[in-house]
Amino acid sequence: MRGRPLLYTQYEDEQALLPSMTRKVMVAVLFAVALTIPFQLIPGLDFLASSGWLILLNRALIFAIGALGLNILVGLAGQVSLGHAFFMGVGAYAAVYLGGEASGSQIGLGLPIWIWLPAAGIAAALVGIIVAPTSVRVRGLYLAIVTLGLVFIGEHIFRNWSSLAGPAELGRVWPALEFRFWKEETALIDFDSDGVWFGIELLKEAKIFFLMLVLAALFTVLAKNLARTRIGRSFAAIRDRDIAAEVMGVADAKAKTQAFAISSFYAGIAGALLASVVGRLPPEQWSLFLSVQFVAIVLIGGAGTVAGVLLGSFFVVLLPRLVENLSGVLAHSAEGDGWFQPIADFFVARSTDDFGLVFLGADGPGLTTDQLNAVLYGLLIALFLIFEPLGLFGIWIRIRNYWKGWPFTY
Amino acid sequence: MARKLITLAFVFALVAAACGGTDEGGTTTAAPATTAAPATTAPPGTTAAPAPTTTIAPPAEEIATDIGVSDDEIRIGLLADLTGPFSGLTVDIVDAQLAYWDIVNANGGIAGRTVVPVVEDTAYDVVQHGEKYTKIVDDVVAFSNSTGSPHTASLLPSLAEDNVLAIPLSWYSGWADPAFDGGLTFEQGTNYCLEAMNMAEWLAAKHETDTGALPTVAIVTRPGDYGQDAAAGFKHAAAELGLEIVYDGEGQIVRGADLTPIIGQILQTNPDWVFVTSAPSELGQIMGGAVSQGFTGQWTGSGPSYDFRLLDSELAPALQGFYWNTGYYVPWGTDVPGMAEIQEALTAAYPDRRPSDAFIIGWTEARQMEQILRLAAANGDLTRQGVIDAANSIETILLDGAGPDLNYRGEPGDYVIREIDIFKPSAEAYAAAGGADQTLSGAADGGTTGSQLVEKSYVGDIAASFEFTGACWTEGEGNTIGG
Amino acid sequence: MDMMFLAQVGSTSTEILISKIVDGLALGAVYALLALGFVIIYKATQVLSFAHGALSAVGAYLVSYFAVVWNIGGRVAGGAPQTIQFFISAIVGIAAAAVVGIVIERLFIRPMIGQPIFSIAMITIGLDIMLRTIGNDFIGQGANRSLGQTSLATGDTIGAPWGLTNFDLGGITIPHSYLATIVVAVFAMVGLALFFRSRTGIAMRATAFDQEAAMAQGISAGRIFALAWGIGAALAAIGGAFAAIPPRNFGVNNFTAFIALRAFPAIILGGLDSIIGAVVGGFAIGLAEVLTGHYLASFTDTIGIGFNTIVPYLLMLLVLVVKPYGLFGTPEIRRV
Repeated sequence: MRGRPLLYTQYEDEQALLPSMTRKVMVAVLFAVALTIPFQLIPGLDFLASSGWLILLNRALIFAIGALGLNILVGLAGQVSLGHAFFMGVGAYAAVYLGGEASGSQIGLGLPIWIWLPAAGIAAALVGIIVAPTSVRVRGLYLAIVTLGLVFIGEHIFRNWSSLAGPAELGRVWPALEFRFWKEETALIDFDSDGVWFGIELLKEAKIFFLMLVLAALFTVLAKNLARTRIGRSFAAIRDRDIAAEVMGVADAKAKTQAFAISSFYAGIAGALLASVVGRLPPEQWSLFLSVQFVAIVLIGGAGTVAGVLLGSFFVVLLPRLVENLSGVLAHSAEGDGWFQPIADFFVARSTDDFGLVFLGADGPGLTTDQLNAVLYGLLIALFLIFEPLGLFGIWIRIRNYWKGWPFTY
Repeated sequence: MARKLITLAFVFALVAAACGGTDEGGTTTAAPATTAAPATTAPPGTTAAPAPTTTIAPPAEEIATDIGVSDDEIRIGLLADLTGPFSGLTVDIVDAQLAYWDIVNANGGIAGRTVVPVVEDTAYDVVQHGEKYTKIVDDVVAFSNSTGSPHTASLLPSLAEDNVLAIPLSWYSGWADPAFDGGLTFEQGTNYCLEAMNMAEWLAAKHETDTGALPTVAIVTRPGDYGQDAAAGFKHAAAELGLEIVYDGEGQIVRGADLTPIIGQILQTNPDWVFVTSAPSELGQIMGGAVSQGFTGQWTGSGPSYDFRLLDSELAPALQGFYWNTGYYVPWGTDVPGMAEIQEALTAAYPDRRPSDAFIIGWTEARQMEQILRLAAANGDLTRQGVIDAANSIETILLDGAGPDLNYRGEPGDYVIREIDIFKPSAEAYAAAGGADQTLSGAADGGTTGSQLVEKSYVGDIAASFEFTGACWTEGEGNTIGG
Repeated sequence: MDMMFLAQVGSTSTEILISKIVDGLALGAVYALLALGFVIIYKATQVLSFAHGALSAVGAYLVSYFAVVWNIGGRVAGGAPQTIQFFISAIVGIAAAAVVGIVIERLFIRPMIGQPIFSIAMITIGLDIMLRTIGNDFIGQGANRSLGQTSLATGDTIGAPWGLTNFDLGGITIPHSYLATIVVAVFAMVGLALFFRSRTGIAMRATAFDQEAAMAQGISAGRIFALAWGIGAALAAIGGAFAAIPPRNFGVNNFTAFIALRAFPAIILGGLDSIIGAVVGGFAIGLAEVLTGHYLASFTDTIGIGFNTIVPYLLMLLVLVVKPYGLFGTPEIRRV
């Protein structure tokens, strides 16, 4: 069927993970390009190989795993949850209990990663199953606020369980990303320090990047596949009309419980990875703000779409850095004498007696750079949803449709 | 259609911005955005140079450099809490540092190089602290401010990995212990632990003189290396003195959590004295809650618990009546030789600002870093290792009476500072001088923050004889001195 | 409920209980004001506003600005008693907050009518981040912002005239400010009830009930939306200002915005779309928080520090298990 990408002659073809050749090629190219990032092979992308950018990319990949989980719950099963941070916390603390070192007043078993990482997901999934019955009973915005309550209750527990979570505001150290068979001295694969792999010198961030890339790819395939399975379809039925689904024989309670369990499994894995990569997190970190970031990812990316959620993760994680560079450019322009200078100068206060919305020093009139970052972050979330309620995925669809019909606009 | 264009324009603007930023700066240098440059505020040459306080040799002919130092610049980092719970103090501290560096630069800089401070806001958050550290560490030779005890403590592995020196804005007792910090942090002033011992002894003596009996005490602190370090010292002294601790709220002040149960406990146990180690706003809430419900005991606490700006609030009469604040340095406007210099410089830099005790802390911090850098330059080694070596070999930093001179000879137990100044906030004196409307240039004698000296350089017997070997409290081991 | 708590801790007297109940009612009044704002906005525009906390902080800041920095009351009515002066300034601040609410509705909410409720909720989260950041930038800078001097942590005092003064009724101490909070909240509620009987109020109720039918009757839905956000923001400002006065707090600071998060359980407890529910829920949550805070304080080793702040959420969960739409909420009619 060469040349007719939209014509499917087999049901299996239409239901394939990547139904067209174009998509297969695109995904393969994208993955290959991503793999080369730490080696600076592709001009234009070489700046990404610095540790500063790799840290952000790693974070975006971890957030992608978590957001895929939330997307299963929100996008696929239609249950809005603000409690994602809580499940991430559960996963992270399961990981630190199993994998962390016991010291002083803190507990930990020091087990290897192949135990603590899956266990983090399983622990979160079990807690998800416990919580799920509320969602059978409570719906819509009520459910959102119930899960919001979960975050606060969880934060209280983490904060006070100092033998597990470390002191409030300080936290404890998570196990590093090192692969061991058991508790031997030297790690078999060490992701956590710079080193040489196959004769190539690599930053530790680059090593982590490879690990995260593989994990994110794995979880993406699983999430994408889920929608094709019996379970995934029962989720969609519940989302679209739960009573109708029940009439058709989809068990409402069972499907919602499954959705919570799977979503929480993803969250637990993401939480454990995030904590391990950052190294030390205080119990306050598993807060509403983190949950909001994930809801933002799903809504900005486009609820229910795997590709959109991946885009959203990168967008939300990289946005502060982009905004920061934007203000850097502004400041630079305000100092210079290009045509842009007057405009930039209007926004930037260069000294305490200069007018401007942003002051680029430590503290002065107007917003600081960090505050500007926060304001633009909030503004972009709002503007995005106003101008493109379908999210980044919606933009992509429009671009694609435009070129499909080109040069005709209809 | 229009919507799509606008959205796309936004995306492209951001992407373009991202690329633009990387084109010029690369990724390791901090964007110009992070460089604080209030250069306009201090006219070069008009202000006197800081008096040379140690006899440090002139810079060597050949100077080795690595990260953060070029032929014309020395870049230093400040990881400061500009928007968090201690921001009231820290903003002034940072600005005093900036003023100090402007003067240093106006007088030729260090070894012919301009000192460029790179300021980042950490919001007193462990995670943000770490992120901001990572962001600028490859750009600076050392950190002249790292706000917060737990925050700096959690940074120690990174400091060791990058082999870089930091001056903590924190008086945690662990900084004096090379076994704890690997010589990578540079301590200043009396630590929380010894300060709390002093206060316990002082308040016990005062209460005994006033009433003839030993006081009952309550202690409420934040968790971690700030609050629990102070708690360890206080409990040690309380045990020595035989003070009864009727309410032990060690580690109970948690940011954002409700403080009513603490107030309830204070009211219920009704101690004669309360010792608080917190942020100023938390002190305000706890003290306000208790006093408004009829509690009439006396209050004191660790230095950073108190901010004179609390005198702007309804708490002012209560503070004047019941609170005793402490300091590691003299308060603003004290008549000592060093103060004139500080007042003159800051008035020139920030004529419209209010006087602040915290200016002195920032000034002192900058002076320490300046002396370290000058020594490193004299040794001909402005590499990171050279700066660390200079910090660990410096002998004395004179403060001209603004605080006890900092000596670093011998073992920690020999040089650790044990004295504190004790003050009484005077809402009346503060209000009489103009309160919040004071400006450095307008106020008579530079204005006042209302802190009136009660006892200068107080050292209690317990603190004086305490055998100091290292941190009084650590995250791993908890309280290490008993009590 | 009354004697049980006392028996449990074997504690002092009924006097403490009465003081604590007043304390709880004062806190409850703050929650009720915030919850009312939520509910009015929700009923009129079907938007669950997560920006309410930021609005309350901005509102409290505006009250502080007009009362302390500008001292409008003092300029307009210099000779009048302190309390009158403060109320004049406060009304100006609250009106300014209402304008902020109306502007937000026009710019960010109006274009979203008909979109999925969670997209709009997310927009309000974006608004919350913006407003909170800008508000925090203003807080603590006093009259002259160009000085770049912040004391965000200690915050800006609201300028309320009550200070730390108390009524002392033989063992029962009741801060003047608590009583003022309760009185003002009750006045606001009565005012609101009267408003709903007015022509505009009825129009608003009609719009909330059925938007299309209301429009067919000649009611301008847009005006009603703006009005709802204005009233919501004004209520948020009153709540925020009273949350920031002593002895509970010493000014509006960077935590003021988070107080509204604890009003969420209040609206869910009462039912998202019930005015009565918001009031009942607010007072219930305030009482629960203060009473558990006091009577369980000696159990912090078992229940943890700050347990009383999650009591509202626990209470909410408990009620929802029994009544999934809250105490007074309208159950959703579900059709296939």
